[in-house]
Amino acid sequence: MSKPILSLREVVKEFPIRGARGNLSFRAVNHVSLDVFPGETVGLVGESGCGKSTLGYMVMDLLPITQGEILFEGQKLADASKVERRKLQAKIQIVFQDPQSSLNPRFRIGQIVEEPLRLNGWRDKRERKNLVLQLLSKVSLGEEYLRRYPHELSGGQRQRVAIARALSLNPQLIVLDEPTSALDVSVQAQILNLLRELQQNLNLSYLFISHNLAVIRHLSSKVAVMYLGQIVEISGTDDLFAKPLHPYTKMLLSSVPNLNDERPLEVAVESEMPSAMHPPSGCSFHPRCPQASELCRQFNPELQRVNDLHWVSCHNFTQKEEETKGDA
Amino acid sequence: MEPLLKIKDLHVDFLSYAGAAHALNGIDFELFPGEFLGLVGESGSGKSLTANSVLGLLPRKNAVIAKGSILFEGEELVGKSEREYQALRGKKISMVFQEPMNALNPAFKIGSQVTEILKLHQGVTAKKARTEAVRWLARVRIPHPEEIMNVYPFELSGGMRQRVLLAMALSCGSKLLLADEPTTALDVSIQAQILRLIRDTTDSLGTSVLLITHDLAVVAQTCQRVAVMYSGNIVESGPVSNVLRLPRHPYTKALLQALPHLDGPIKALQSIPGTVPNLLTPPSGCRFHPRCSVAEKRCQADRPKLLSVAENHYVACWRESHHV
Ligand SMILES: Nc1ncnc2c1ncn2[C@@H]1O[C@H](COP(=O)(O)OP(=O)(O)OP(=O)(O)O)[C@@H](O)[C@H]1O
Ligand SMILES: Nc1ncnc2c1ncn2[C@@H]1O[C@H](COP(=O)(O)OP(=O)(O)OP(=O)(O)O)[C@@H](O)[C@H]1O
Ligand code: SF4
Ligand code: SF4
Ligand SMILES: [Mg+2]
Ligand SMILES: [Mg+2]
Repeated sequence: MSKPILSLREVVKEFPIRGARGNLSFRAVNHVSLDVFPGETVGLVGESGCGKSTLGYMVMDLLPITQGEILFEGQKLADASKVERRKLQAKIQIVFQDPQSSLNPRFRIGQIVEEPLRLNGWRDKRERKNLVLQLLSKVSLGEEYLRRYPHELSGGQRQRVAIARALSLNPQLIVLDEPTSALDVSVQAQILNLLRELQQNLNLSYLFISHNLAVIRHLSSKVAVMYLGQIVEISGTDDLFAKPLHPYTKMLLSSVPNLNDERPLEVAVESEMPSAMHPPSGCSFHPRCPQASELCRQFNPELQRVNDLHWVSCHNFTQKEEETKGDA
Repeated sequence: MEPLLKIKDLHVDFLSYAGAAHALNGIDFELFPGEFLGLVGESGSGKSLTANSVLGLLPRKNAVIAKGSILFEGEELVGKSEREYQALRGKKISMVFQEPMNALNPAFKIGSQVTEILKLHQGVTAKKARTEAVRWLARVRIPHPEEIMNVYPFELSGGMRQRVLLAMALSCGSKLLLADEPTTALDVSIQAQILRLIRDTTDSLGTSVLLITHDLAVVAQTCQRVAVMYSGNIVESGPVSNVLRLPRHPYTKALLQALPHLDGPIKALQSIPGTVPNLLTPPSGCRFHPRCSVAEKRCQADRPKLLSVAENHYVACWRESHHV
């Protein structure tokens, strides 16, 4: 297998607790390890506040990491010289949920897409303009959009502009943070199809953040499930949806409304996710877990290997059980 | 059975310097006692407007009901005064919205807000209202209701606030609950809890529910019937299993093919070309015609009526009218 383009090793992010006395802090991301290979899409799911965006920002070097390391093509961003760092950073781009606020309202579309080129040493104006036109055509926007302002575009068109801008420096990895959550279904389909097509043509890798499991399933080859800052299960997509092993993944999957199901929605747990500022002891899912035992209340489980692609962190999982199930 | 709510040919216009926007363009639907009806459609299709028309909450300065009728328990609501509406709202007709924080007063504790509603609508003493309030909070499965009485809205999570609002909405014994995207801002595990709660409590009280959502999967697992809106029209309505499994309107079909699924093979998504029309200059005839893959000549000229194609199943499309 090829080498990962992005590797996270035991990455931790701590934020100070506002208003707290002393130097109290909490962990928004807690020892996360993850590999993204060239040309693949890794989906990151989990409920609000579990740390998905924080992880994305650290990958983008928009937030400093507290502990652990992030490697891009085997190289640590933190160790790179200023010039190298710039080069590496150009290879990672991000697209946010809300294209309204991520595009400067006073710039025309042409300027928005051109800006990263200008900042990265593309001196020739004509060359830049040609490239901008090519980029816009990659996201199916014609020349007539060049002189428009963001507010003159629909939500879907604005998201196309954000994608065109992200593509401008030939990135290898794009962090997509809820790129279709603000869009209507019919427009979401356009953007998801576009992302898939660009990936195939340009061999891009995606770190795809979403709370929409159907969208994640549609685009990802691998899915990581986060709960209170930790990855509790990671697996090939088909396996995860067919055979979820972690009680939280099971709960999540049974709570999601399914278009092909007409039975009333199941309520797996009545309680809510605790605050990251006061994480429970032991396994952080234990207050909501139907299988929690004393062991779970005291010790945080490690990620265990199910197979090369599938890992789960739960005391109740034993490899043997899985094998016998597999045989049956 | 007589419908509890019957909307007929309802037109709502917004007036501005740029002209009149025909935001609701003649919508028809009925809601029966004890029924759970889903109203779905993409952003701007007129879902909230429909609910606000029923509640008499249209902005008075620029919105008018140009035509049509809203019958509630056989009584005409169109033309009622604000005073008359106040006698209905929060009593016979109640509502919950997407952002519960806006509907609660941030300056008062939960207990006093729930108690106030009960005193107002049930005319009970303060002491009795307090016991009732705790009972209602428990009924919407709020843990430790006695303690929750003493906290402020900002101290609660979004899910808990929505439970409080449901308790307030249902405690006055209303016949109709209008729920406008009540779970859109919530996580899926909390969404499942709230939808289940709405279903269980309204079932036991016999309340009818109009559930507004843009999520067809929510409709599949919560509603009995569904009405699909596009640009100010209801284009298809019927039992959930008919509309979602055997859609007849080209827009409903297109919407379903645009959705990724949780199971089954991964198929390419069919996107709908073009964008939702501008209401100031809507397309002539069938408003879907510029995006419709099977549009005919007359689709541009005349608007198709919502007609029955099967029992309880209605479609507004010229292609379907042949069969009637
Ligand atoms: N700059 C910050 N300072 C302090 N706390 C923060 C900061 N950014 C995020 N957090 C906290 O870190 C945790 C993780 O937040 P994050 O935005 O990564 O979650 P998320 O999974 O992206 O959620 P959502 O689905 O709502 O976008 C939350 O508890 C959040 O309040
Ligand atoms: N106060 C207003 N003034 C002018 N136009 C309005 C006003 N309120 C709504 N509209 C227009 O009426 C149409 C229907 O709006 P409505 O809020 O009912 O949509 P919706 O289906 O609820 O959408 P969403 O899913 O985004 O909530 C929209 O095109 C909107 O722009
Ligand atoms: S470790 Fe224990 S509490 Fe945590 S998910 Fe597994 S069984 Fe549940
Ligand atoms: S009436 Fe015509 S344009 Fe409208 S949905 Fe039917 S076929 Fe398409
Ligand atoms: Mg986020
Ligand atoms: Mg609305």
